[in-house]
Amino acid sequence: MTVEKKSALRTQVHALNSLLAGYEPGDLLKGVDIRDTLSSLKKEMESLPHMDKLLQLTRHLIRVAEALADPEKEPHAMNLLRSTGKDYEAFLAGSLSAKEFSERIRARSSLFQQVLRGQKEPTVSRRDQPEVDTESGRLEPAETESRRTEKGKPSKNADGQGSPAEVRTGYGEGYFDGIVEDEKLLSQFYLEAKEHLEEAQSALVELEYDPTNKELINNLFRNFHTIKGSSAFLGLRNVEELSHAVEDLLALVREGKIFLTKELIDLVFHGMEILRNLLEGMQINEFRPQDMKKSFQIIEIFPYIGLMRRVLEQYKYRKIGEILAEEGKITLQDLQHLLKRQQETEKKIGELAVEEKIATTEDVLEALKKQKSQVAKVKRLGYVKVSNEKLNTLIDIVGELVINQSMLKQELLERSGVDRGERNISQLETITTTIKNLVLSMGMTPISEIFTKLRVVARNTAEELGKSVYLEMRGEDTELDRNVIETIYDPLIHIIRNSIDHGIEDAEERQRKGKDKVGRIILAAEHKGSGIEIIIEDDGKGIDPELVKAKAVELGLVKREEAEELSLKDTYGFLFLPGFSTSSAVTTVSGRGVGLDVVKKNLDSIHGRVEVVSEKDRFTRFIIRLPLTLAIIEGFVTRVGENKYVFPFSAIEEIKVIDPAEILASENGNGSEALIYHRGMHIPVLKAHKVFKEEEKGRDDRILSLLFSLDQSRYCVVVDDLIGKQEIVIKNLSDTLLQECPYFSGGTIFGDGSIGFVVDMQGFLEALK
Amino acid sequence: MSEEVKKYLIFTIEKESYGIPISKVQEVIRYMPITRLHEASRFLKGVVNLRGKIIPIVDMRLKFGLPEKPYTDRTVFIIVEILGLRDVNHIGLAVDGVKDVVDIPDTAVNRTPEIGFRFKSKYLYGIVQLQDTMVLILNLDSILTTEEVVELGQQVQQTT
Repeated sequence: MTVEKKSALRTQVHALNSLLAGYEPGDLLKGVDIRDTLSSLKKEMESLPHMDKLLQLTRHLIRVAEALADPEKEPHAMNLLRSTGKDYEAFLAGSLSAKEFSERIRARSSLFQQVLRGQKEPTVSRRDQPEVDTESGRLEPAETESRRTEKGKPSKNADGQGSPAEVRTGYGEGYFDGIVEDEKLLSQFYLEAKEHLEEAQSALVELEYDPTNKELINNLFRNFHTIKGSSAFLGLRNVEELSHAVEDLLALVREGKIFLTKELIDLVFHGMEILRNLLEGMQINEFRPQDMKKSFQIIEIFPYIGLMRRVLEQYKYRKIGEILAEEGKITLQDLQHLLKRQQETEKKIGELAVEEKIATTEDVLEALKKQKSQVAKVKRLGYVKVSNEKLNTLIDIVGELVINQSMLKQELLERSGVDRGERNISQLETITTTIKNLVLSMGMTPISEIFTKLRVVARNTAEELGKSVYLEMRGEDTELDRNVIETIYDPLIHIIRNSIDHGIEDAEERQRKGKDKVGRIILAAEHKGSGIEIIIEDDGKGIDPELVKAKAVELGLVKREEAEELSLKDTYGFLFLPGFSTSSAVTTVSGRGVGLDVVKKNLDSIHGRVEVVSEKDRFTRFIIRLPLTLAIIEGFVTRVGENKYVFPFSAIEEIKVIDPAEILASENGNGSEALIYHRGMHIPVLKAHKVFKEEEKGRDDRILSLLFSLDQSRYCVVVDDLIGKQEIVIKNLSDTLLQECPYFSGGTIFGDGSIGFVVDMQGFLEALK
Repeated sequence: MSEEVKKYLIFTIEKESYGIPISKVQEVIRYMPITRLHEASRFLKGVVNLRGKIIPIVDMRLKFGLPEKPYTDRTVFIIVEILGLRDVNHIGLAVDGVKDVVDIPDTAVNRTPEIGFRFKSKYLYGIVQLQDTMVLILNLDSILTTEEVVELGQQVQQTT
């Protein structure tokens, strides 16, 4: 072996080891890199004499690397690659004798077997493999590998039913051969499994509300366990594997290793749907195994199983060394070195790193912290239920705490010469701010909390009615006040149930109309203006306004002549009248009904508005607009007269300082009907004083104003003072006040305890009309 | 029959005494600066910050159509709970002063005479004679949910 070639080999091996050290579970790209490096290593070896043994080993390693793509084998494959890679390096460096090397490989032969079992035969591009295999058996001291391959190969071939890795892309040959040819047994299993799925479903729905309920989790686990057991007995491998995958997940949940998040619940639901399809496939074919197989072929289970495995992977956590290497605190070579040392000393990587002065104590502690937070993420247990009332009181009290704190600070600062006090007070300030932020965040909940529940409602309703509906959700992370979320839950249930029941047509009708067989419902939430808008839209048959009008006339709500002239908005408004909606005639004719008056009442109670837009045979859209009661907004604080007023920051385009000379068309010189020409537009100048009935004593030379953009129109609102942008916690103004001043959406309390009013721009403009 | 005894908070406006059931009262606080609302109806003076809650203050003098009087140290705000559309609202009543909390049996509350009293009886729950003072028991919910000025004080002055 020429020295040159050898050093080239060493570089390659070194590169390989770096890749291996940086590999993270599920990193497919890196997996491919590893394979490529191994291939080029193989090429390098092919060009060298006396390398048969290594070449042979390398070929196996390539296959091991291919096994990385299989999540189940991945950890073992990685271990193998890493340890063997290190041995390679040591061997090439001369610190490992050929004999030691082969002994080490031999020690790992069972692992090799395990990983390579069922691994696909090398593809065409490596067709030289078999020859070398046989050859290597005869060649010099390559006994280790040959023994290994001989062991590995038969097991792989004997495993005629295919293995998970092979099956990943589809059902292998003979996958369903094991199905018992007994229609009676199969139909019994069908009934039993259906029952278990029912039970599982109800347990799962309850778990969405109460995700830590041990009993429910156990029930759920048992259901899948039973299905798995009986299906295995009957040779229904697809059912078995699928329920097994779910069971694996539930096992971790049961052990308290993972918290059953909504995502996981959805995942289980998804699995149940596939299981149900499989079961239906059995029933449709009257439990004749031959026909069942055909149906089974169509239903893919492996993407789901793969997904499940990847999810489970996520709940593993990384090692200290990996974290350090990833952070760039230590190099990969160092890591290799440490790992080697670790085998010798059995000390912890972190300790070793410090001992060897590779990493500082701080770095290791930092990494430990990271690891802990990962573990915490994995567990995610420990929720506490707190009543809304307590939380609300807490929010109020903390607000008061902050105010008192700042007043105390003010007082202390006025008394000079209290250095120690000053330090204490600033510490107190930090603490109160932290508490405040924490408490405020507790009051806000992403709307996904109820969206997920609605998904279940939709699922169940659709199932009841035998329709298939796809629920699309958008903006689930929109944060809303907990109280608001609670109030809108019932209305949303009503609307969604209605949409599925009366809106979405059955499959045949949809097909006739040229629509997709699966009904689609969009559930979306977003911040709009100074409120939140929730949209529920179905692509069903829509509401015919004429029918609504006819009904309204019949009920004497409107005169026939007037009905003609009603706007669409007013027409659909009838739907929310009590009594109107419950009328069966409307329910059957136009397809909407029960409970819409309740919906409106609920929304009214939180100053929400609801509106319907619809087009016959195309869609029905419910638009719910909610104020951000108690929510936090970005506000722009201004002073008008003697009070502070907060304008929603989102609507502000710019701050405009108006020179009185700029004002055009001023009718009475007072600027009450003033316009300015700005950026190519004529913009009306509105005085906030007029709406708030504050005294005007504005300066004449410089007029401060905020330029708003609302519904494509622009307005300049004149204020006395600009205080600045702030996060505003909106407090409820009492109903009494809001009735009087509809242009406020709420109030707020500033850090110094003073009160400001949050302006609702729509109302503000209306007040000027 | 055992008669029911309720506790009432007695407060004064001008020289008159008024009673409201103590169960309605959350607390009585000293006068604190009001953030004025100019646009609101005359008797709705503005709002105060009560431990992080924004509470509207209704001036009972103005509500009863009496002339405005500057607030003094004696002025107190009675924070009461009113059933609103959605939930309980808190409203502060600015009154001249609070006098006492007394037990009044239901039987002692006389119905308001329909004639002789010009003010709407829906604002009154009844009249009670305590020693030598006449106490008008108010029907707070209806007083505070109406936007009109309740011409109460003047009428009473005339009748006494």
